[in-house]
Amino acid sequence: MTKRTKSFYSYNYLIPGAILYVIFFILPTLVSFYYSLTDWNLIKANFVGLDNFKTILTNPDLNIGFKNTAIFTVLTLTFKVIFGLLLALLVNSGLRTQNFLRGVFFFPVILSSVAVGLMFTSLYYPTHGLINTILTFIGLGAFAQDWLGDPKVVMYAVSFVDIWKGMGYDMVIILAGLQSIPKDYYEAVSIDGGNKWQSFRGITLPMVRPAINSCVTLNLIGAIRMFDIIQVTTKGGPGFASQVIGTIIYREFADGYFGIATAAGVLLFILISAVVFPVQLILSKREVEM
Amino acid sequence: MGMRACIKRAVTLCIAMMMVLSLFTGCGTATEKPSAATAETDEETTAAAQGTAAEEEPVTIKVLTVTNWWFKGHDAFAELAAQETGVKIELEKLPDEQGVTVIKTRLATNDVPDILGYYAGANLKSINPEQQFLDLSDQAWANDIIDVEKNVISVDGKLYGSPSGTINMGGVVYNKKVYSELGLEIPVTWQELLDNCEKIKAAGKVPFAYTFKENWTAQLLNLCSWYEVESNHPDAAQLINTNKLHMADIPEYVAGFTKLNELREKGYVNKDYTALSFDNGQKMIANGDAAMYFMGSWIVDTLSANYPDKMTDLGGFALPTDSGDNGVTTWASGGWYIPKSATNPEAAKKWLALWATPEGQAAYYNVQKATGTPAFKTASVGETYDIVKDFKKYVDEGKAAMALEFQIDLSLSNDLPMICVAAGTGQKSPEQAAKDVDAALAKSAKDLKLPGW
Repeated sequence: MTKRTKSFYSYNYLIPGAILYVIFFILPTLVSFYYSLTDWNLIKANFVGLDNFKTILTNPDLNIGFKNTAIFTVLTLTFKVIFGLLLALLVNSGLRTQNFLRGVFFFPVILSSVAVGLMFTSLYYPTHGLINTILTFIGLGAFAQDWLGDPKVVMYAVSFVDIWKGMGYDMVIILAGLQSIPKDYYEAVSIDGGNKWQSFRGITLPMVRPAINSCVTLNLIGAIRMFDIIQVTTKGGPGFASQVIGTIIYREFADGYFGIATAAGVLLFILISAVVFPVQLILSKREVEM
Repeated sequence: MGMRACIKRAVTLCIAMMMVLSLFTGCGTATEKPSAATAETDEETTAAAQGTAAEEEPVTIKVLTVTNWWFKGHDAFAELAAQETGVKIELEKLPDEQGVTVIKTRLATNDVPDILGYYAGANLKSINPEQQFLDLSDQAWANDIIDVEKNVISVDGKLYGSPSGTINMGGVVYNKKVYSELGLEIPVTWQELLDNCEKIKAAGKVPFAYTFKENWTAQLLNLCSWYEVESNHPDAAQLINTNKLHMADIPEYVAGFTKLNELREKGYVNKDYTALSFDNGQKMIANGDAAMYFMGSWIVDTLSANYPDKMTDLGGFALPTDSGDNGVTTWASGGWYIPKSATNPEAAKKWLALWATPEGQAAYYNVQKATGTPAFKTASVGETYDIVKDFKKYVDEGKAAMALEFQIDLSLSNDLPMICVAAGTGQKSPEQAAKDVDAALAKSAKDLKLPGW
């Protein structure tokens, strides 16, 4: 990089963005650390120490959010990356319809979460929803479930919605990674007499690792702070069965327990930082140079 | 630093500041308009503008409430008010599920209407009415409100609101046609209710409509069991409020959760109980697909609008108990409140003054058969529906208990409906559910800093 390009734009151009970022992001984040230790309402804030955190961690209707967030994160993260990779390989394999398919697989990403949620609420409907109707029709009525109503099934059902909606996004990132792999590597493998599997294991996988790592990080953050799809499909129900941290923050805030909501927000912040930074560190160490 | 660089820097800074400021003003103007994204705004265009009746300049005040709390009787009154006082309204109705959340957020951000329709009782106390709303104790109509209602829209002896509707009652709403076809008697004990359910089920109908998609409908059995709790523990509410009695220690209260789950486990409810909404429940009970529904008398409003010819098929009875001493639970009406920072408080007061007159109430009850007892002593109610009449018999016999939320300072907010769903779907044992109610009460007490907690 030459000196000229470095100083082409003045850093002063950063000021508007930086001011907004500080006012609407950095400041509230810092202030929320203090308010999470209070029982603030609209008028005053009394210092209550760690009471809010204690309430969240000891009340089973609140701490279920952490368990569910963990289930949701593991499921969506794993399957989004796996399906994203498989889809990327499919639409990169030179199919005649690959451009069309890329569009099709990416389409759910651009749909609004509310629309997706409503669509699945109807598909999952226990008595005459499409999924159960089809299952019964092909003789698999025994597998029909009250998808969003059965507490044992609901977390898997909402995870599936998010996987379906999000895998196209991972596909695009991994596809970009696939396309940046130089053809020479594959030629070298074939000259050495390697088969398809060997070229996948030896070339493709290591070379798309940076793309996969980005997916993992993005999915991780997205899953831990999940809110919209769950709010639309189940509102955290039935009862508390699909509450995640995001819906708990919303519910406590709506009920006027601002202190508890803020504390849950702080916990969410800590959780994301505690998970994402180490994960990224580990993943980036394993990346290979192009 | 050269002169040119200095000027350049100053100009950049100026531009930067302007960009930020213009963004803020952009935000400012955007929030002044009522957000139409989630809310349904309909302008009441009842033209008092003809100017014959209105002597003064017509004023438009903003009224904000939740869809379920605004009835066609209110529309009729608004029309009358526009003619009589020249005060027109711009009504904003929030969707039921998020209504209260949105109202609380609006109050928090001081984006307030001139008149707010909101809860009475514990839910009112939990939003600091003394800080939020005008004291209306000095209004001429203050003494026309019946006492039970006045208590729940006042805090520390100061009246903050005017009752927005009627005193409702709750128990079991049932389809009389189904009952007579199957030759069933109105059950008095819980066992008799179970026997009826068995017969209804055998006849291929759903005994009870459960509509847990809307959480709030799941709590009616729990709320209606309050009469039984109170008849065995007369001072229960007081003791609960002061942390001397816990729900988990009241067998009658715990039994409410047991019964909610028992009906489901025995197959006495519709299969899609987690997917149905209040609307679906009304349809089932009106058409006789379901024989019974735990519900309050407010159901007659939408029910009569959607199924006017079915209203004579429907009746009500108090929740059957083990002892057979049954009564209904009653709910005070919500209130109209004037926020302290309202733009037109005087016009709002004028509107509420007319509302409290027999004339104003008549405008309401002429198009709106009463869903319960009127909240103003001076109001007269005409003919009403069987469901309401059936429930009212219990009240007239003195067999009624005011719902817990109007007797205590603590608020269960959204926790109770969710706990009821969890108990009713078998996720929580009845004992655990009662303990969770106690935990929710403790959370509220801590927030309100009540003595004894």
